[in-house]
Amino acid sequence: MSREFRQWVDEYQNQAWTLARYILKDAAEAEDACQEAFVKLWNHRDSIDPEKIRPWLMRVTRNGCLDRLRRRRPTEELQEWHQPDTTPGPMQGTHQKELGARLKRSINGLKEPYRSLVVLRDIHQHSYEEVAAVLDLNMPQVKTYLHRARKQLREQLAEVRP
Amino acid sequence: MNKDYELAEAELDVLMEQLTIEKAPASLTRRLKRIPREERSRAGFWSWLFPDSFPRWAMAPAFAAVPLLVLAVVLMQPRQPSPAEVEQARQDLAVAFAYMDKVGLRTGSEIKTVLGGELRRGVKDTLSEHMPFTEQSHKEETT
Repeated sequence: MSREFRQWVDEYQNQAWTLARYILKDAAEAEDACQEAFVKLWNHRDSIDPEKIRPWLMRVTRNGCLDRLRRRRPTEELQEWHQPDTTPGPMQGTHQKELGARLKRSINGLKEPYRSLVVLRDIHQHSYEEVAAVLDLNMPQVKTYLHRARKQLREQLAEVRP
Repeated sequence: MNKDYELAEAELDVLMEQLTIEKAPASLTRRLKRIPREERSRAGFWSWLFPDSFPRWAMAPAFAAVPLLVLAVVLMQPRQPSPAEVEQARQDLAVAFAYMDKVGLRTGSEIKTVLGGELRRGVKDTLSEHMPFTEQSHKEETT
């Protein structure tokens, strides 16, 4: 079982980490949230359907992050997640870089569940069904909310478009 | 308008594709891989006490039974009475025996009074009926 758990860690840690980072915008807190989620996974490993490990873990990670957000004082300053992008990639032009950074900030600025929807569906590439299971939504809700989220993102990107 | 929308949507798709899943830091990977060992050592005693096969619904009654069990064990312990209690018990017993003696004497005299005359009369009548000389001898005796 320990080997299986290590396999789950290898497979899902990056996704849990990315989701936690988008929601919490704080590396240390995101690490703690991920660890809590994986501890829960270890403790409930026998009762979870192996086919549904990923949605279960994403759901627990998200709920843990939202609990942390609720516990934060309203006046608390959040560390802006704006890492310098040093990796070479297709986003070479200055304008593209600017847009990419703007998109990240816009996703960060989305309200829940829009932010998790975008991260899970557009970044993690989860299926609609899986996203619905993680967020406790039905399929029409997933599609509607995703449409609204993308509309907001398009509008915010349009502001920086030349 | 429709063309603008499609362009914006396409641009968003392209940008979204650039947003890859971030690699978790090594510190997190280390923390996550330590979980099985840490959880096992943390849960050592409890997993011994309540193995996985122990039904969860039975946890609450099991915990509730613990104080009752302790109380029962305490109450079942044999206890030596104190000298004062022994003395008190002895006095109580003496009073009880004295009372029983008194009652016994009184009851005995009552029985003697009521039954004694009746018995004597009954025996005398029966005897004088079958043996008339006894009446005579009785008279002689009394005179």
